[in-house]
Amino acid sequence: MTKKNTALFFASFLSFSIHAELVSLDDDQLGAVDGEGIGFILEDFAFEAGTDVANGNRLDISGITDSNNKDVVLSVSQFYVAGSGSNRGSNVIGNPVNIGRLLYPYNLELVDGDDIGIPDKAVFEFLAPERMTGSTSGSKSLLATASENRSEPRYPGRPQSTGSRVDRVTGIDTSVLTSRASEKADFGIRFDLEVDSARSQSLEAHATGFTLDGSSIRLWGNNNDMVGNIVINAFAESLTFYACDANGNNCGQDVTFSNFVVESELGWGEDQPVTFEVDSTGNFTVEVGSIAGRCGSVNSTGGCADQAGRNYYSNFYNNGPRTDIHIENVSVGNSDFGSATISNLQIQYLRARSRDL
Amino acid sequence: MKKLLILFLGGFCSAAYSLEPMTAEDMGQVTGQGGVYLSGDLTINENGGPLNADGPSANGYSWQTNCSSSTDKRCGARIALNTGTGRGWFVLDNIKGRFSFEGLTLRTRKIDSGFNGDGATFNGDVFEIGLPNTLDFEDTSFTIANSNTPRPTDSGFRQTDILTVETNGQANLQGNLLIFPTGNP
Repeated sequence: MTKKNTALFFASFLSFSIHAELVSLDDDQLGAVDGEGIGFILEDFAFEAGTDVANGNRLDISGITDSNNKDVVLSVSQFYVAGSGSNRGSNVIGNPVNIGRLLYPYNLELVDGDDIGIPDKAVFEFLAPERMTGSTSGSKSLLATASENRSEPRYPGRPQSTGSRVDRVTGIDTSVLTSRASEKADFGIRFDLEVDSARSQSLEAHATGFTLDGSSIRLWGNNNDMVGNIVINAFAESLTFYACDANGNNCGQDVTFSNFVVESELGWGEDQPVTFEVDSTGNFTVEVGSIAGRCGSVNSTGGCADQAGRNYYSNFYNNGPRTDIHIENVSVGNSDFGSATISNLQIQYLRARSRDL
Repeated sequence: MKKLLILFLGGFCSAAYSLEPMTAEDMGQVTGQGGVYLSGDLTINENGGPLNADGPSANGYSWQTNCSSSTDKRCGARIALNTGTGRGWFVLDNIKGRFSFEGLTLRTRKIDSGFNGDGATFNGDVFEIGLPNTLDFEDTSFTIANSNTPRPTDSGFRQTDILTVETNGQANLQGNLLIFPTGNP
């Protein structure tokens, strides 16, 4: 192409008018829309904020008061996200991490609720990288567990029920995660507590090998409400906390959680939606829907008299949303305190509301 | 170089030439070379917001503030989102300050290698947002709050501030945000 032609070529772009019109889709065509979304990942990512306080940089979070009504300011002196080996925030820029994989990215999409148990609704989904079925856990849970059959009343004085419950955690199965070592982030925060404008203490928290694989947020509309389900699946190879004096020196002993696992499901499809709202008095309310009232009729001992009701509750307790938290080892200084586990936590109803003080 | 400039000028005022539409085949050979390099500088409500002149002063809310010399936190932009009919509002309030960056890049990129073996399997195009190396904040702040009415001038207005974030100085970052379609588009 000659230079003159190049110019012509550009000119043709500038003065080209395109005639096209948008055509509305009919129901059949809309029905063919399926969950194809937008994936995104962060490549070679590192982030650092709040550093260099000595030169006037600052990142302050205020709005908290202590019991004497003095303002408490969290003055962040470093917040960072980096790759492994960040060494508590001393190696951040130049030590990047990939967050998400090309084959398992973070994903935004609109899906047909019929496919995921939320009938006749279009559901907005934000998904973290997915999880695989683990080689030893046998599920998408990081926790390999030993179960036992228990027969006990669900409430004191109620008839016994039988079910299989987690007895103990036998190991952590990281084959569940699709994020590999190079896709697990280190992050941390160092902040000073300022009470009534006086810097009183410095606190630090650092996480290594962190992933959110298997987490999700699903949102949909229900009458005039926006409701949703939230799954938080977080894993950190270590979480370390410690406190120092106001100058960041004379630090106390480390409190370390090794192999920290949170697997928490809030809400269960349309049967137990989670709502976030501000009520008419201007206060924030979060609610995890109640599962009460599913029995057609109640018998003399308080149980469901009808089979449909019994099936609903049986399904909720066996397959419903639950929260498990496991820490493989808690150590303070050089002392190990062993593992800590909270398992099979199920929320039947939760309502929390803010109140202005 | 001079010649090239003239040629480009020719392109912009080429009424004398006759333009010919391109065929689909020709268009197919056009590829997006290069990309876009952006820098930005945004200042919001540095000297206060529009509400400070006629804001209410009842119920302990003194919106009538001269923001030009004041550090009053009620001088700034406000975004209120309704959570449902007859309900209250999520509020992002007192948004003010200066935010700037240099060197945000936008381009498309083909990935068919690297990424610990994922690139070859992926073998596709992505939209790449190259993150700037620094973000500069100058007294940037915002408040997360809840209120019962959208505007502080509405009658019976009540607001609960949850927290305020204030930042000044530089944040350092590196990396690219890659965006691409998933599923089978």
